[in-house]
Amino acid sequence: MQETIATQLKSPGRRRLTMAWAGVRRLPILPSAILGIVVFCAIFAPLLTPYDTSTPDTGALRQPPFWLQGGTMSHPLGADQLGRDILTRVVFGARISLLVSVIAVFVAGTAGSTIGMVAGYFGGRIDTLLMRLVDGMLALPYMLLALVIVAVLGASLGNVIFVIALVLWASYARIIRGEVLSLKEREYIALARVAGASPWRIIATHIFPNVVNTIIVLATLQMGTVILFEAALSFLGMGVPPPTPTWGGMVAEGRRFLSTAWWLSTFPGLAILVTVLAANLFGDWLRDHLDPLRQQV
Amino acid sequence: MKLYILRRLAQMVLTLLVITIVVFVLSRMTGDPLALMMPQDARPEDFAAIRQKLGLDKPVVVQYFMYLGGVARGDFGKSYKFGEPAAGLVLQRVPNTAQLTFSAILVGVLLGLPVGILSAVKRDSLFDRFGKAIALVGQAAPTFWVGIMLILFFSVRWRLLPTSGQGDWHHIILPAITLGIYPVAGIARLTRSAMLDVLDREFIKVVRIKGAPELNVILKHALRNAAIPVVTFLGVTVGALLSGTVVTETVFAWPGIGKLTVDAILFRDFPMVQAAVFVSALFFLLINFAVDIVYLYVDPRISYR
Repeated sequence: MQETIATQLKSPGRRRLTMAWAGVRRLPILPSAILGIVVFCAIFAPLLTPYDTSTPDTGALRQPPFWLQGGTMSHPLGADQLGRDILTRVVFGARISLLVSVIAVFVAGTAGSTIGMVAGYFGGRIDTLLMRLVDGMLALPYMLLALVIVAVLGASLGNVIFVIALVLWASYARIIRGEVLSLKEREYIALARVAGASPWRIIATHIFPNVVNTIIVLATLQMGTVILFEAALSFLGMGVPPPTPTWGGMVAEGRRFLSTAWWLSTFPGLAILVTVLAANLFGDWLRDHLDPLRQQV
Repeated sequence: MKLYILRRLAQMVLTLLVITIVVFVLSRMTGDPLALMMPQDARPEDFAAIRQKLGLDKPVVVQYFMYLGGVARGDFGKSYKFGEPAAGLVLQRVPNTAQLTFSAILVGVLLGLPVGILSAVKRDSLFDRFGKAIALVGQAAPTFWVGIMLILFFSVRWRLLPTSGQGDWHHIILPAITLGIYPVAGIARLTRSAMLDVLDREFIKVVRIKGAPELNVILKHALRNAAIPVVTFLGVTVGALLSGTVVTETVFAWPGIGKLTVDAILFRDFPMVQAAVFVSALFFLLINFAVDIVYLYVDPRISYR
């Protein structure tokens, strides 16, 4: 008994650590582990492999993976049509996938949520105007729009992020607006208004903290979709341009050698599949955990 | 309700107008189309002549209204690449894309519905878990990669089906499965949860007590009530599938609108890009509109102001 009291009296820092650990322990193991590995690969890519991504090696042209005849452990997943190590390129490919999807989701989430909060809180003409814009965005065939914009602006990392953010923000705006509509009828909001808080202050201190869970869940659930979207753009030749390795681009390049060297296209595609699967499972878990979307799904 | 339909129509026209502006502005920012069209040894006079002939020497705003007037008449100009009216070339491809989309939905319903029903009936069985895993993987797999893997096995390894192109019914099997993976996964998951929901209700117990055969209970009484969310999903999916066709058509060299658009973008064939995006957007909007109207009849609980 005394001991339990003693534990409770431990320093707040210790307790926070224990609580954080309790949170970590409840994480879904496999998806978290996979995402952890992908993030690790993306950050430490150059330290993980003796090769670089673009130097050709004529000695290893289309060398098969190690378990096939002619394969060696020096290129565990084989080498591509220029003799570049496939495992190296897959590891480096994680960088583009994660960079694009994290930044694009962040930009779209910030812009979309802000627009949604403004539309929902102020209502009236601003709301009508912004929601028409959202309807218009959601009514566009997003793949074609993205292709046309990238083709015009030129394929580069920045433009790919811009295009993806541009086609994503509208769904945040719509969902957050819906939440704000019900939130602003609450009494404490009215009280804040009576107390003389400015609209922006109310949005920042009273509305935002109440919708932030929804934003986080939505963002996590969207990560997988964005990774797939980026991969599709790269596959169509409208993503981050070569020689930077992208998973989608590697699948596209390997296609020509499908009958002689299947590993060129197969492994980068598997990387996409596993990463998206992990991201989706993690998002599902987070939604069940934080629960804000349940009523709407 | 008439008012609602009218308002939706007006909204559609507005959206289309926005699309024309976006596409027009974008395609004029993309660089000089003549650089690609003209032979290497063309003289400056030739450039000027062609520019005048295509109206590219006029101010951009004038060009837009010329273009908009054309759009109203269904005239998007001649394709730089083929030298024929772009709208005609795009419309020729519509049936191919429609065929592919329809086949993909068919695959989705024929595979997804039985899997979903069985999963719900045999809840937590091995089949249920297997089905759930397949659905999760199906929603996480990149379309283009699935297509390439199908080609690898069915065309390259086992030589059962053609790798690409259009011909007899053999040619559509792989593209339809590729595009159908996503709806299969979605329909299976939704059918399962909707069926579980319905099978728990009182009226199902009543039907069972009255001695109806189990097959009848499941397929007639339960499925009919579980169908609404599935129909809703189908409606939403048709739009998303149109985006999926871009990738699938590219992988299988299927001569539809998606492949045409990608080729046109790569060739900087302005009139073709504009016509293709406009026609795709029009179909996208029409389908969404049709789906909304169908809901109105299917589910009387939905009301539109």
